[in-house]
Amino acid sequence: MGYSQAEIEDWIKKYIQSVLETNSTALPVDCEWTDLGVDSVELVIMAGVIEDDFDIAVDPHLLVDYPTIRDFSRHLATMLNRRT
Amino acid sequence: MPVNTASRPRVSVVVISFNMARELPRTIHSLSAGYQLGIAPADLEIISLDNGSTEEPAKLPSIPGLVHLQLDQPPPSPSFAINEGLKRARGDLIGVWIDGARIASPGIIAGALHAAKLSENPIITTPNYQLGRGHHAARNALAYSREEEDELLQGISWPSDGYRLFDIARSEMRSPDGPFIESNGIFLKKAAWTELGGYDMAFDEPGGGYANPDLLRRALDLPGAELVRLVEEGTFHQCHGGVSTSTEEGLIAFLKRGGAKYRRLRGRPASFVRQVGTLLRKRDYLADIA
Repeated sequence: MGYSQAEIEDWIKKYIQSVLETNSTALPVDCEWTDLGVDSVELVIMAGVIEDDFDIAVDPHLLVDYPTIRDFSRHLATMLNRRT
Repeated sequence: MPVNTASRPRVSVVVISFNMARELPRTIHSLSAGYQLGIAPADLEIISLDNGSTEEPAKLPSIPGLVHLQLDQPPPSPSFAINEGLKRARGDLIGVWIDGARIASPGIIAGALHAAKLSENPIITTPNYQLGRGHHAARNALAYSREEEDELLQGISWPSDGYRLFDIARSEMRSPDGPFIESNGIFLKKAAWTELGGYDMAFDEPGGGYANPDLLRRALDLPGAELVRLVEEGTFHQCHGGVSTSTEEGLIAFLKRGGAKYRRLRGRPASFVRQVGTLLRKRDYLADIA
């Protein structure tokens, strides 16, 4: 099953909203994780949850290489669609 | 048979260990009256539970109020051992050390007792530190060893001034009043422990997985819960080959696997606690102690 970048972005935004305990829909997708207020430990945890939900291995260092919701969503969508 | 309340301690501390012959005696000493400022022996009960060690047993110091129990073939998670300790604890305030390798700073017990008077349902936490130059998960890269750690402790003449632990340690948090995911020295009133049902044994993996972050979250969700942080105290992790603290790869795997399990169990991500709560400083509870 393929995923669009928009679907991945939506998943990550909902996840980050839950982490930050905010209902704000205005979560900027071009902001770096640290500027969103997400800790690096929480990013590693998110990598594990992505693995659980999407059945794909996620090296947490990718979240350093792709430091925004948009960048990482684009990369993850590519990874997911490459395997289908 | 009536309970002899006259001899009840004011505070109980439950300490869990597994293969910590080197580390546990220091932890126990650090929790004892004398090291802990302003605490009389009768104030304190320490319930130490060995969670099925396979190596040599720890030689513990002789301390009034210390009870040491060896569990026979316990589950690998410390949750069961903690709950056994909670059942035995007689104090109205009970602290839990899920990791017996963590040395306490000297004002933790006085601070916790003071905090317990501030609120009906205080969730009293202490910041986490790692002895040495960096996180022990990266100790291979930093060539950190138990021998170096022993030298560091000798270098500050520990335990003569326990606050010098801060001179040889690194915080696991950005700041003592900043976001945190767990506290390795956490105190709740007995009624709160009862209401929570202790630690959740669904976290059944060695080391407990996310049992400790889960406990913190559930405690803060209790009605009337108020977070109180002892920001000038700390628990100081000695390197010992623990599940989540030995290598970077091990730490990442632990965080990923545990985080996924937590989300499946709780339906929400494991995340840092961001509320600041009440910040207590040494002057708040040690000022009257000579």
